Amino acid sequence: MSKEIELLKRKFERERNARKEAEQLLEIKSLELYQSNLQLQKANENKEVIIQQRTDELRASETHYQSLVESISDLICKTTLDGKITFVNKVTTQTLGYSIDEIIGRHIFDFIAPEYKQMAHNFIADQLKYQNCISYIEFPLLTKQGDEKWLGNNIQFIDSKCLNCEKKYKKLAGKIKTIKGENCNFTEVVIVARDISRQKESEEINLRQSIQLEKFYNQQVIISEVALELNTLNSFPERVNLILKKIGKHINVSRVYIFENSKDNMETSNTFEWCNKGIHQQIKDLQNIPYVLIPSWKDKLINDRIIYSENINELPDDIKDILQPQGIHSIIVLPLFITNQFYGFIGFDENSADRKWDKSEIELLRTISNIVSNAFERRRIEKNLKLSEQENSAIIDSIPDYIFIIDNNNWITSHKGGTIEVFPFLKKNYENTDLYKILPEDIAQKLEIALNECRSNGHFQFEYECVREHLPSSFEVRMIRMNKYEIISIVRDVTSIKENEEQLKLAKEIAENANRTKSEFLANVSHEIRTPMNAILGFSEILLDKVEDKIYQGYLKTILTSGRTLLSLINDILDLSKIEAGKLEVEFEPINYIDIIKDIEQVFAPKIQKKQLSFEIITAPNLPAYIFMDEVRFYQILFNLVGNAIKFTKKGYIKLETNFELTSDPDKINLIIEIEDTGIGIPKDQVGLIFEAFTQQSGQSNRQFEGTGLGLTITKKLIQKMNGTINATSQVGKGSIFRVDFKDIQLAEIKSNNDKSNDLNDRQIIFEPATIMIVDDIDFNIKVLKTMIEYEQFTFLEAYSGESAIEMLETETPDIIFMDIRMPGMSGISATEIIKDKMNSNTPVIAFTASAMQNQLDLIKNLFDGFLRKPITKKTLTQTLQDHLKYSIGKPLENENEKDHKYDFKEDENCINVAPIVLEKIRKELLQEWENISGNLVIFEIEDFANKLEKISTEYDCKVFIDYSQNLRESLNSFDVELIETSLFEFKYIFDAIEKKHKKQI
Amino acid sequence: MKGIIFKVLLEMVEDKFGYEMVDTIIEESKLPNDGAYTTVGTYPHTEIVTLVSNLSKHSNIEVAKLLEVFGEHAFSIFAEAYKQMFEGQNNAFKFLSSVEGTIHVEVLKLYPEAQLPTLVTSSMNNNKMVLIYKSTRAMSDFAKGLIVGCLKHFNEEASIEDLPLKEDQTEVQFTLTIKK
Repeated sequence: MSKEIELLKRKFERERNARKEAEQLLEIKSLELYQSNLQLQKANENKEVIIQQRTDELRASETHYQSLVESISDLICKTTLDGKITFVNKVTTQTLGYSIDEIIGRHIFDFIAPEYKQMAHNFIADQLKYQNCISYIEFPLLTKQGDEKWLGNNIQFIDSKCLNCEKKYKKLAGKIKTIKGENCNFTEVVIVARDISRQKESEEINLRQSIQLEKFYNQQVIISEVALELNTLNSFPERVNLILKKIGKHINVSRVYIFENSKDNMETSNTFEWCNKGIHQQIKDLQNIPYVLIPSWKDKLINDRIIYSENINELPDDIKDILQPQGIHSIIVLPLFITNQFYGFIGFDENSADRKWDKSEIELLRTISNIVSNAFERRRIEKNLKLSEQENSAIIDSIPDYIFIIDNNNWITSHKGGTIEVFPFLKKNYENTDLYKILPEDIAQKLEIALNECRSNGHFQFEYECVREHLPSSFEVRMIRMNKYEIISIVRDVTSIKENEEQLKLAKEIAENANRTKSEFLANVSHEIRTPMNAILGFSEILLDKVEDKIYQGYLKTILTSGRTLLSLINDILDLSKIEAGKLEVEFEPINYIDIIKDIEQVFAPKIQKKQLSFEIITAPNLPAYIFMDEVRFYQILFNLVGNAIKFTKKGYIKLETNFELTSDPDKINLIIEIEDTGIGIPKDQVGLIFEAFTQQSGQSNRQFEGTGLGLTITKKLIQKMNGTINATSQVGKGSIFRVDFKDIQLAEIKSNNDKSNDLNDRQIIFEPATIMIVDDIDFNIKVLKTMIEYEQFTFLEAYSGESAIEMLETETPDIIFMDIRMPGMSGISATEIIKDKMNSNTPVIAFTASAMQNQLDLIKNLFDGFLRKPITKKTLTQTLQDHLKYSIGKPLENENEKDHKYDFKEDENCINVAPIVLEKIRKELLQEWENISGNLVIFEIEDFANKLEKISTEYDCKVFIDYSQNLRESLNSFDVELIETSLFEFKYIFDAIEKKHKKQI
Repeated sequence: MKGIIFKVLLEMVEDKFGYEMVDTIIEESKLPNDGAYTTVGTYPHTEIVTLVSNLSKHSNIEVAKLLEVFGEHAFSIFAEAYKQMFEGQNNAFKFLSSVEGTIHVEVLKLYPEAQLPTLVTSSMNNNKMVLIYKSTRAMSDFAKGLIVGCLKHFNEEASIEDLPLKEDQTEVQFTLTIKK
């Protein structure tokens, strides 16, 4: 219950609040109402004021209007129907100069100028007659002073109805001349007139202007006629004559003419002429007139661009003299220019008495002369065009090709050249016909494909063959899309070109074959020469050792040096032949670049020293140690280039600089080697030739610079073979730079096979006793091999032919056989085949040859157990023996306290005892020499050194050095640079060892 | 929002649900004037929204329906209160088409501060009428109720089809088709 009361309470509360609010709102509203009432009252008061103001304004405007009416500028006059004036306004009296009294009552016609009176009378009478209530007429009035005043008169016949006549008021508002009354009863006339004197004056001016305008119009007409006439160049002379006539008639002169200059502009001739009636033609007389006769004429035309005179007597004498006889009185001549060149002139003569030329006429003639100039210019261009077109078509006609134009339907629309020759099968009337109807299907198909290709690509080319006059013929077809619709197709007979190509190809193959054969022949011959050279050089050296007579020793030395030169020449030729025969193989293996550079440095050190040059070696510090290269060939390249640099340099320096570039492949680098010298240099025109075979720089004296001229050729070919390039830059007298670039050289992480530390280990290998068979037809080769296989525990069997070897093998069983390949009678290969296949022997057979041809190598590798190339090196020989014979490894040499297997220090007490004297003597007499020859490796110098050492050591009975001397001499016989080097190096080792041991003893 | 709308609403609620409901929704709506509305006053539009949504909550009738019923009821009240507005009006279409041009103009004369919706006639013939309602207050349901009330007032029967032209219902198109 209390809840409901609570609810009701709240409802009541809300109602009360709402009522209170409503009352408040009402109060506000009534206040607003009161205020709006106040405003309304105020507004009413304002309205009264406004009405008063408006009334005042209206009055003012009425006054204003009246004054306006008063000041109206038209004359207003009222008359009776018979013309008596009953009213005039102020303006009328003012205009006419009469007072009102002088006007009123008089007749209107009294004031009209006498000559217009009749006209005005008739007009007004007519208007009345035709019931025209409003009409307009112009006539002049006479003022009191007797002046004429032109008035435009609006004449109105007035009826009492007029005030309500809508028609009248409507018409009056617009501009009308006449309206008809409708059964009006006119009582009076009102004339409203306006002074139009000024207007009349301006009308006169207009008239004059329109005459002028007409003249201009006529001039425009003549200009367009002339332009139109000269628009086409057909029947040009007739047209020019016609326009001369038109102009002549238009400006009414005696003669119009055109002169054209000669090509050299020295003379001028009358080429076109028009004469008015009664004037004689002069064209025939006025030909080839030299300008020299009338210098002023040309002068004026070029500089003033006009000759103009109304009286020719004013003109210079030279002109006057030529004009006067022609009866000319006045003249206008205008020049014609073609592409800014004085070409001739157009002239207008007047023979009658002095004529005045209008300014506009002169301008007209100037315009016409321009049009004529243009026409002549166009005529000339067209002539030239025609000429060049003729030339072009003559050129096209002389081309032996056949040209077709083919449209989008694949129809031939036009052609040039004898089509039958190109398409002997082409049917007649082929133009504008489907391809398939005029050509055999296969060719039409080919053509259709080609046309489609050409349409999409813009051009296409193909060849086709066909039989023409029983002979196979070849044609080359080139198609070019000319535009959307047409393709130009050029067909050329290439039968003879094809034949020539074939023959050339054949000739090239023959030549290449011949060249290969030559190279093979050279390689073979070289090999054959090298073999006897081995004997010549070997035995010469042995003899040099034995012969004591100084003269003979000299001869022998000459034989040796000549022999070595010959050998190097042969080696070069062999290399080149191999390269040219494509039989040079390069084998890439990891090499130590720095080692090679060091070798090169060492090898050339003596020469550098001798010539007092400096040898600068710069190697990029971070150059990777091992790279993949063919070591032998790489060495050869550097050897040749550095050797060359030294050879041609008298003073200064040789620089060998090595740099490298990283490539995108982290395992590859680009190697850049530059060999710079300060030598004689190469003239610019010969830089390109130095890499060609058998060319030395011209004028290069062979006496001064020995050599085969093959060095650089071989070097370049080797570099190319190894994917490199070589370039030379040079300046005569200053020196040369040879730059070698090897791209993408593979880096090697592993250690080189050639690690020198292994070399000395050879000495520690101890072979078990074995029998070795050597088969060679040349005794010397057997001896050399035996010397090199120096172990005492071996027994040798010698056979001088394949046959004797096989015979020997019936009874003997060697542990290894060395077999020469090239032998008279049975070859090494045949012998080995018998040994292996027929005798079923297990004995390893090692091929032993100077032959280096790759094709034979494959056969050898398959058949033999090993392969040794002459000349044989100690290292490879030992390796081969290790591969096939039993052996053990001794203690390493580095252990200096232990016994060297060759040089026994412990047992050689005497040597150590005499050491101070011996070592001192050697230090004094030989150490310097040893250092020199170590870098030099000149064989007879080393031999000399060995002999001297042996002499000293024998004197003091120092066995270690005696043994060493003999070994060194033996190593010389092998021609093995490596072995010789090793032997030479051992000298210092022994020297130091003895010195050490001696010091220990003390 | 004019006070009369609030009065009509609260009276209608009282009639239909009793004063307790009126009291509940007023109390819940926490109104600044505690529900003391007067016909001639002007009150924030949000208050009516709050009231209607609270009513919806307690009556379990959705807001749209409530607004429509409210509109219909309001029209009958208006028709009674402003008889002069209906002088010379003899059918619903004519009346509805004159809302924008005459009634709203008159309302604005009386209450210049009033923020009125617009109800524009986009097309009309004897049988069919298309009206476009536009108001930031998005009370098209109330408008629909008014239209229903109007039709009833003129004893006419027509179907009303409403099509929102904007997602937030600030613009709605009504298509009225006379039933025959």
